[in-house]
Amino acid sequence: MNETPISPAAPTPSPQAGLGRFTKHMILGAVFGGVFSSIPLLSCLNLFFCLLNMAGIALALMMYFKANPNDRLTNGEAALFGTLSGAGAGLIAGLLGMLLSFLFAGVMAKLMANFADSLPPQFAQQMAMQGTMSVIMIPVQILLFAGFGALGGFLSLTLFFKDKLRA
Amino acid sequence: MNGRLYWSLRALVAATGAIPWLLAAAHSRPVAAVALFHGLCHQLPEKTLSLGGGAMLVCSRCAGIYAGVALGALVPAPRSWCPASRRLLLAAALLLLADVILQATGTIPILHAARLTTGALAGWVASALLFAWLRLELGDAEDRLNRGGGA
Repeated sequence: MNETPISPAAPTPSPQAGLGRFTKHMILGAVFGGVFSSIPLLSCLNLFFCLLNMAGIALALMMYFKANPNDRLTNGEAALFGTLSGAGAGLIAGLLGMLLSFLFAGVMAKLMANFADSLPPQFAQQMAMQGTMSVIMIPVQILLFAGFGALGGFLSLTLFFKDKLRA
Repeated sequence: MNGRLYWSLRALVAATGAIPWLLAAAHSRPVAAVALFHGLCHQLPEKTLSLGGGAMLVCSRCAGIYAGVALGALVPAPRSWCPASRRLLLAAALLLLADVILQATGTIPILHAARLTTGALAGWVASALLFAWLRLELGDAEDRLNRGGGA
């Protein structure tokens, strides 16, 4: 069962201590994950284990390691990187999704204005309810993306950047 | 990673995995939740489990993954498994992929039990190994503190 030997902790030269050093790349990961998850058709890739969110985190981690080649991360740091980046991606995807649904609702409202007399009153109510519910669902989306982001950070470090693991 | 962060992360991941199951248990299918999960799962009725007469928000494979993720946060893997993380993750992913291919090509019929099991295994391995590593790191940090070396 010995594949990745756990070497004794080695001090790593890091320009800044703590999570603060990840801020720029966490934001980049959030933007990648959030924007890609909001693009119709492309967002289908999220059907595979929240892939776009995870890919955004992996990409952000890759860019971080490119910018800081001597830095090493623990799995805890990678998981926190993924959690915060994923939460940002969830927020961005939620807001963009809400914006798109409002735009869609606006277009629908204009189209339906011609049939206003023949539409049941419940239709408008349901449209309004759907808009409200999409706002309520944003925290759920943040939670989901943050949870999968934690796994994404850990999986990225373990599977793609194992030489960057600080034991 | 300190103790409070560790437990917060465990709670977060457990909650993430529990969401579709809690909604199913509450027989709740809000339109916005259906739309939200539609972005994360195909929701095909023939591949989706029904609990108490209502279809879940995700297919049986995704339901397994969510359950496994939640379970992994509640029951982490032993720390001795950490060195073999890559091998275990790849084995679980291969099993999941084999089930996907076999069912997608029609080699075997749609089996909810297989979808649930392989999904849950993949979810559990990922989540349980994450928390095994975090426990290992937390233990190391505590050891260093006890030795007076600082974290």
